Amino acid sequence: MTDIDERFTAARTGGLAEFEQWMGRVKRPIRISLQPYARSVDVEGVVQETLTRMWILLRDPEGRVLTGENASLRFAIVLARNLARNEARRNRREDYLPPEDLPEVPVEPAPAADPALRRAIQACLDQVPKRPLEALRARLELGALMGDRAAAESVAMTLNTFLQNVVRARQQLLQCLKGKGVPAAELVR
Amino acid sequence: MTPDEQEVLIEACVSAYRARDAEGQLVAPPEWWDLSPELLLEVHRRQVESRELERLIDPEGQSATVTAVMARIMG
Repeated sequence: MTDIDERFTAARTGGLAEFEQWMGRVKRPIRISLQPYARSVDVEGVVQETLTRMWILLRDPEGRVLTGENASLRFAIVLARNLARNEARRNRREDYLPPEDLPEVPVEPAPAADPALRRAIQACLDQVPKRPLEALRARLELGALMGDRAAAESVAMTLNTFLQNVVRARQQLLQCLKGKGVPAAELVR
Repeated sequence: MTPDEQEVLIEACVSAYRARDAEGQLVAPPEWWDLSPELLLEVHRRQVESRELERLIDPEGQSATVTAVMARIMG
């Protein structure tokens, strides 16, 4: 049984904390598997819907039992792609969909966070100028739950200025990481 | 569209926050509809990058996507 399978099983008998750990390992491969659909659907929404439905499946006592290596991740990727196709049709964006017989993608779970990379990022954050850093931190603290408009208001910026500052902060962060020998490609591989 | 305007539209879509419609379904940010298919691929690339940065910055090691889904599950 793989680490992913163990976490999924633990979430079935445990609860939210275990499911949160499972999500942390699978969300990236799910998102990457949706790259061919990015021109036709909002991938972030599809990833979130997929994870929510996996929770519902997990808590259903009569839900199907998943078997095989990385079964929960493989199932989630199939689910995500089906949701993406349905969403594309709903939005009349079928023209941009990839072929139905798109080959299966390798399902490698996200690696554990590298402590050295984490330290490098913290060091680079210290070098980001004040306002872009405030914008980035506000998005990290509030953005996922309340949206960018609320995050912008929390640091007394207009939405447009806030977004420009987030862009600037990320660019400076990535530039600094590159100087430390960590290219952006390392983060998206 | 100027490059700066384009950057702002892309960044608005990179966020993990998604509003819901009357049926409770997640909806794409309004800016998503203003981007060309090629720029939507760039949105995807930056989402991968941003979620990874968030995971590395967050003390709990979680990204904004996980935070958003946890909030949705807990109601």
